[in-house]
Amino acid sequence: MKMSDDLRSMSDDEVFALVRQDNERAFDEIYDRYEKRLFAYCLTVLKDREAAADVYQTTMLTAFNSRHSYKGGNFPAWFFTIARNFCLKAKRNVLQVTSIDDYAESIPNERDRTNADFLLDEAFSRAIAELPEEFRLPIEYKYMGGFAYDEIAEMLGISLSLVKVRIFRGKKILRKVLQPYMQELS
Amino acid sequence: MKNDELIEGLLDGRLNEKERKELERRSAASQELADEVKDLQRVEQLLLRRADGILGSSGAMRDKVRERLRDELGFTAQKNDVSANVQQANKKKRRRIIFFFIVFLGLSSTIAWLTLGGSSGVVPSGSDTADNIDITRQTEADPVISEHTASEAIVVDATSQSEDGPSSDGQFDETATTAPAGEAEETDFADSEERSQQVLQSPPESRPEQPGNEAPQSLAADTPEGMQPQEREEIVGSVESSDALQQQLRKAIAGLERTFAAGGTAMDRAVAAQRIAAMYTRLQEAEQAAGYLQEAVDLAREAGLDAIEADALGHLALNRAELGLEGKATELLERCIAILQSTDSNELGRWQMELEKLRQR
Repeated sequence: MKMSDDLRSMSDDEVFALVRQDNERAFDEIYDRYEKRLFAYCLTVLKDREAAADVYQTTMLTAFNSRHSYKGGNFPAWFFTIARNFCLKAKRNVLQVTSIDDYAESIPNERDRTNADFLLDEAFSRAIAELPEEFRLPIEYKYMGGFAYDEIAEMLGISLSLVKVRIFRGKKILRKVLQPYMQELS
Repeated sequence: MKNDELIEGLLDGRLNEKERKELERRSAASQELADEVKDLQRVEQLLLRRADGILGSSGAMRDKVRERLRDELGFTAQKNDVSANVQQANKKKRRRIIFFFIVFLGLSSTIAWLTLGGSSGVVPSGSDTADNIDITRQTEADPVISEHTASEAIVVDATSQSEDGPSSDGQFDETATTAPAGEAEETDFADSEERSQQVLQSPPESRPEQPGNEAPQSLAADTPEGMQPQEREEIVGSVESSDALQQQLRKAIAGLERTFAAGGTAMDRAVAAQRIAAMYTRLQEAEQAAGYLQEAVDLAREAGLDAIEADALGHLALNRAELGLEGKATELLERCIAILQSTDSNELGRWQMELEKLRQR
């Protein structure tokens, strides 16, 4: 069995235990597992890409440099606690927060988009930004962070079924907002 | 099962064959449901694409952080490969077996020679050297062992011992070389108490914490603002180079302008015009943007595309307002709002708010 297969089959705790022994591949594995989720989390909380990038790197550096203070048990909880604390600090310090959608708009993927995509994406970004937080947060966590329903429930402190309901209702609200465009573009 | 449950399952990819057929049957019987399913599938695609786009564009920054961490943690390539460790341990084990087997053979031969042949002068092969003993017959089942002759095995074993060094008590350290890494770590966690002298932070109320685990604050970078400005700039600045972005935008505009000039349906051209306008707006070329927005308004009106016309009017109004043409902007926004009121659109509130802001100027 290859090393990468070994690591892939390990739990976060097991991999991080190897990181604590300065295992390079274990570091890569855990970094791969969490890099997108962490950035998505920061972006969702801060709604500002620069602040999110700042908190992202601070969290990563802090977590790995403080790896010996982790005693095992629930790696994601420990890791996202660090992220959350830095996000809260950053939030207090960010005076002018630009919309997350400014970030979406800055993505230079124009060539891949169809005209219909363009119009829908623009309207969609606005619709997401205007979603009430109770619907927006679980949606962002699910799609941006790739979190599972139960993880979102844990993060938001609500039940699993409520997470599902809110995500589905959020999608229905998005649909309603986008309906005029979808009708014209279909 | 309710319709919503079926649709939710479909979007999550959790429906079984029977449930999927049931949803299809219900959709065939209700156009309203069929539209809802189709629209929500579109929303799902938009969500996935948006996430891909945003996360994809932060890749350079994330890679830089990874490299910096790599440096800080002082990694050298593959020095702690778990598989390599396990393989090495297995190899050692086999060598030890071969070594003891040969010693056993030698001893047996010596004993046999002493008890039986010693007096008759028979000297068994291998009594003074192991070079002539081929152990491949005995070890055919083990491909690694069968690669070595006994002499090779002895030489290799001696070398590996000297390279690795004996354990402190001079014995082979079985546990150190063969125990799975996870098991070794279990005990490691238990005795890590002394390492928790970092500044501690209280865990969030909404997340269950493992007792004893405390989220540390960084010592060097207490807050994102506490970071060295140069380091921040280096990493964050790599997220997006404005020159590169401008170049990409201009390239995209050139392609779209060709498409726009080539014709097509009114809807395609109207949306293409809006796209081009949006890109010119980002390049802060307001007049170019205004020209295309006006084209979009005209094309959408001709084709009876209310939502697109209203959207283009709204953006044209913002464009004019930016250039201080408040009167024109107000007029355009009023036209936009009139269209949206007639179609009962959800976008109405947004443009009404823009109009309000404009009037307050």
